[in-house]
Amino acid sequence: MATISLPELRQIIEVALDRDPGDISLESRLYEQLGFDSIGMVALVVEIQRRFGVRIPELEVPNLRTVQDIIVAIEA
Amino acid sequence: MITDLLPHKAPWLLVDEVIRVEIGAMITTKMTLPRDNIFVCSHFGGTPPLVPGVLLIEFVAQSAHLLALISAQTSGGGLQKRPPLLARCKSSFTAPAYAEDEIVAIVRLSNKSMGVYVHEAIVSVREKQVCRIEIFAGTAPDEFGYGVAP
Repeated sequence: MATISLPELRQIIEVALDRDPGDISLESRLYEQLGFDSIGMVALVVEIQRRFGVRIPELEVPNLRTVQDIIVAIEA
Repeated sequence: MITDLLPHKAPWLLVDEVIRVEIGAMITTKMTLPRDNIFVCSHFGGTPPLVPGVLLIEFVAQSAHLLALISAQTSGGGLQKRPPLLARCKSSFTAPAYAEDEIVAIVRLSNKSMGVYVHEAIVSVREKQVCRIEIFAGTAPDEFGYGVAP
């Protein structure tokens, strides 16, 4: 089971968004606050798979609404 | 075969030849642009003209599209009528490519998720790497006017 720190997740989000996301917290909302769109979510899934070997099922991706949700999905 | 599959037409059709295909996984293609090609002939007036990086990106995108079409045709699936659209691109250019060079792209389908396909490519001239490109592409939505359901 992978464990992930907030700084590491911030790096992943930066890759997915292709820009500095600014300050993030576990409660940060991916779409409303960090500016994720559909392509960003695909990039997030791809980057998580690259780093952790974890594949988030497509059906679960729409349920990722906060940073905390990402951690839960990786560590599940 | 290329002109039968790809919707692109001259002068925008860049892929000249398919060298190798691994269905659903990878394609190797080649292009050669003549000196008087409309997109390179004045870029930048040197001899020979320099191939713009954006054309290498388009070459990779067309190759990726061709991989999808050949794979669909081989598997007996229907051909996607709506064209793919580039959604994201990351590229690094490490050496020049010139007109009349045989430019080879090795394009690999590295991931797919939620209707978006991720391809990674290495483009070379005489086995020397010219650029690395990663593209995210999805299918054009209905409102783009292509009309035909997948």
